[in-house]
Amino acid sequence: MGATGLIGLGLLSKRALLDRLNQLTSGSIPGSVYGANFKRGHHLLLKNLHSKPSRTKRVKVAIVGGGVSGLSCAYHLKKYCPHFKEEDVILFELEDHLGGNAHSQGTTAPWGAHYLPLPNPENHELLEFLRDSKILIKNSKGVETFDPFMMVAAPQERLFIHGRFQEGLLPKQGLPKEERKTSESEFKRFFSWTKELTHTKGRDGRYLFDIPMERSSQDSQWREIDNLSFKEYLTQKGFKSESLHWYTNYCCRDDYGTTSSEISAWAGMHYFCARRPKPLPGLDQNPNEVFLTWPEGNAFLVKKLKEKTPYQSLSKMMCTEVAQDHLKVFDFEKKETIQVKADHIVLAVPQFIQKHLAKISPKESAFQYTPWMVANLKIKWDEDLAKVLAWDNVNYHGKGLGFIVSHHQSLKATHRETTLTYYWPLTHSAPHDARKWALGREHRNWTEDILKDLEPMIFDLRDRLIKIDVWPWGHAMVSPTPGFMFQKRLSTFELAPSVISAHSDMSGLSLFEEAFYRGEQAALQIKERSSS
Amino acid sequence: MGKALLISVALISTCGLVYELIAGALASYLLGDSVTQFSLIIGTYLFSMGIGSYLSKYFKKGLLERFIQVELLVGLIGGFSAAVLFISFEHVHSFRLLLFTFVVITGALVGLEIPLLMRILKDEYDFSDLVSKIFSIDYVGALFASLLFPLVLVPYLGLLRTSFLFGGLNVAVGLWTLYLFRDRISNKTTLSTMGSLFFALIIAGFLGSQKMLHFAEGLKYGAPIVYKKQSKYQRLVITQQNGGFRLFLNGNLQFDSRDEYRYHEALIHPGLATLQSPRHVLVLGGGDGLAVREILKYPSIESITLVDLDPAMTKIFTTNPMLVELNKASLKHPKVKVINDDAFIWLRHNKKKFDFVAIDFPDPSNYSLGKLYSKSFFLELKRALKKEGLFSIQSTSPYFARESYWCVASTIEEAGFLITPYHAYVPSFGEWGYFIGSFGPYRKPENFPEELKFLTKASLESLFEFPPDMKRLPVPAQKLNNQILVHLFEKEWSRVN
Repeated sequence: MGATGLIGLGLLSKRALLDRLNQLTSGSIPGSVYGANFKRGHHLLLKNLHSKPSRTKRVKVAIVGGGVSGLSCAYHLKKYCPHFKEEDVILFELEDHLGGNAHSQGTTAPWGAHYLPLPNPENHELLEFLRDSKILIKNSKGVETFDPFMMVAAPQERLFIHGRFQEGLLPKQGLPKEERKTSESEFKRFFSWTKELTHTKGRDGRYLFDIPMERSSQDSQWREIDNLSFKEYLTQKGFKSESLHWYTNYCCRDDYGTTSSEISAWAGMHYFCARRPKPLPGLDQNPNEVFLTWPEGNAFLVKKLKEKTPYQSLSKMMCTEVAQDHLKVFDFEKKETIQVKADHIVLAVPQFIQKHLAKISPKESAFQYTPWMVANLKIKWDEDLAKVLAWDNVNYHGKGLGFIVSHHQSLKATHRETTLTYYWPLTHSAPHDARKWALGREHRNWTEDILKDLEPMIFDLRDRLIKIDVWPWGHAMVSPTPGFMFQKRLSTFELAPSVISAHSDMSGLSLFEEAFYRGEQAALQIKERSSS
Repeated sequence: MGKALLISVALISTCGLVYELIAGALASYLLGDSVTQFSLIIGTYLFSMGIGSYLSKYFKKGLLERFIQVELLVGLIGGFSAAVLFISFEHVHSFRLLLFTFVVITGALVGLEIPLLMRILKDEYDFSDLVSKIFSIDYVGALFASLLFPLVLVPYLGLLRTSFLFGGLNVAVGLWTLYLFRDRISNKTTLSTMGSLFFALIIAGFLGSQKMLHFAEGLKYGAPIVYKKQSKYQRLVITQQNGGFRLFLNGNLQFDSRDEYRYHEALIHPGLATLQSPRHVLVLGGGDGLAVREILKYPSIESITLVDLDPAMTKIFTTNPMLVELNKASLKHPKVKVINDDAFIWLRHNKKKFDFVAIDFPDPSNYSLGKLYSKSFFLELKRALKKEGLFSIQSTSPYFARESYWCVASTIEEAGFLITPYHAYVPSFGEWGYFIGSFGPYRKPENFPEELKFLTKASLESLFEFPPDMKRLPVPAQKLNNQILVHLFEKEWSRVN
């Protein structure tokens, strides 16, 4: 009997059969590939939008870029320059939506970072914003604490290693005896070493590592390690354990999209030594392990920044030219160019775009950007999965960084669907090649890779899938390679005194806190200049 | 004659493939991992067919009788296979052993069919013609079965009835063959009695398959099921036995009608009876309306707000006569307002203050439910209580889950309440625990409403007595960021079950 051919037929129901037939014939899982509107952006290169302005607008401040740094600039202008009227400030954004890398357009989950670590007590500006947004609140005893529903709930992190999940991300389960012993003692040594450095100040009285990074110590002894790679530095310090190197590499890829052998040792150490949040009242948890998180990730913070900003922000507007006292923007809706005369221009865009705006010849750039892929997997959820998964779920030696369960903070008693946000920094080849490779890929290619990485963790993932949406980021974040933080990073140019740069890549670290700080600094400069 | 047998080839090959598909589908339903299950079943089945074919050479005489016997047997075994496998799944030690025994026996019998038939027909056809006819018809039958099974049979008949239908067909082929060749067969009467008996059994099975499914589930719940519904949130099952009935949510017993009054009197009266003319009451959970029934015994009550997640639950307790009799139509009472919402989310948005809050949530068996027992929850609850008000909460068993029970105590205290722990014996649950939470010290009530079946002023004292095996243990509080209660609960109850 020729029965073997039947294995592939789902046999469960008519509906399932049709779905399966559909999958077999089209070979595809539902979902789409989104992405930054690089077609719009590439007009900059083609220079075909430099038509004559049809009208001229006058403002005091024009902000180019509606990501976190641009929004933070607007947010702080309201605070620092209260005399500005609503129409004195205008913000232009190329995309359809605000938020830059931290947006959540078209989904309930983010396309960028999912959380914010607790800020250091000296980061007053950020704490003030969190207070403003009712994220930092007073508890029933009148003591300041963070909204308990925004602090990540248990179970927080699990690592899938040797075929099972373990609590926490430090590899423990199923390690060979020898490796277990070395890794235990090395992790102990590593964390006591980094903890000590976290609280150490340099000769200039500043912490060795701080956030924003500009406030870190300038001691030459520590600046020198910027020329080493983080992996080299750790090896020099005698760390040999495979699981420790996996973990430190994982952290570097997670925050900076760069492997530990390609990242500056200073940036690597910054990850481990720059955070010293205050203990929280009544919370018996290490504050370093507390994250603020929302179903839509940091898009929540973007929403708050926007809410607190009274000025006009226009999307689908591309800046095509910047000069000392004016800029030109092209309106993709109305297909017209507007000239905007401004006292101050804030370029809240990454360096690779600034370069084009300032018409600087594209020679070898000091700023390197890593591509990423972020995917949101909409899946069926049930108790079986709830028992296994935590908020953050990582695959040991996985291709990607694992995934976040977006409804984790929800107070609903039952869930039937959820979204998993999967992160994959494309570190397998040089950024330029990886970017080209990524932008040429189709939905099918991405989903195959995602499933290959995640199916070991969720064995019936394919049966649970509703759709996979994919967002490849060509220039996801600046890469702090050796020598970058204290040399190449400083090679930015000044266009004109009235043009101020504000972007996290000026910090070399693509963190919400850094973008927030650069925006704040720009607002501060405008305040000082307009009062003098 | 030859044509008739060729038609039976088509029929038996369809039947044969259907049994294989049923075994494969059942195995993937019940055991999961469909690719592995199908692969193993198909392999074993084909191999067993090979064994059958090999064994066929040992049948020397009376081939027609043998063929009819095989048909009748395979019909009976194949026909009942799905029902037997399905019902026994929860009760046999090794389901796989049973499954593969069935597969091997059916496969071997089906493997006998074609060689026997070919030998019966070899004198009537040219051999090459015979081989080509039989095999082509066999494969056509297989195609027919494989299309019919997923597109028509499973969606419209279900696995059990499909299996009976094809068992019946197999037996019918046997009986038909018997009729056609009645002149050449010696023991006609035995075969026809056997055939008719099998046929009757299979028809009974086909008609009774729905009942069988009920019976199978009833075995799981230990009593016949009288109601079942898969709501958006949970699976509701009501079973009935010995004049009482039980409600199960997701397989967990919620109450037994014969002793639920003990549970609900203990949940409500020690708290509510101490208040001077309470007016506004909130019930969180408790969509069965049984706590509301107790609350309605206080004439001073002006309003009862019940917040329960599942509309299916509150609806059946408002409409089903048996259940409405039990809760005395409490949910239809004009003072009662039913809200279907997530309790935690509702509470966060609530601005009203209540004299008394009764909390009757499911046990903290998972992280989502664990949030309803967290310190953050009780902090929200604080805002919903008047200064003189108090609340009572069911908090699992202080005997079976001692640490879990006292974990709830620490949690309520950390949220800034005074607690009064107490417990009651509910036969179908065992020793059960509760807390009263209040802002000021708790005074025991002087009077209870009339007609209580369990609580009296005299018996109340014993509720507050904790013998050494249930005494307080030092356990940290349940918080959103530790979910310690869920871990304790799982640990302690897995020791009991």
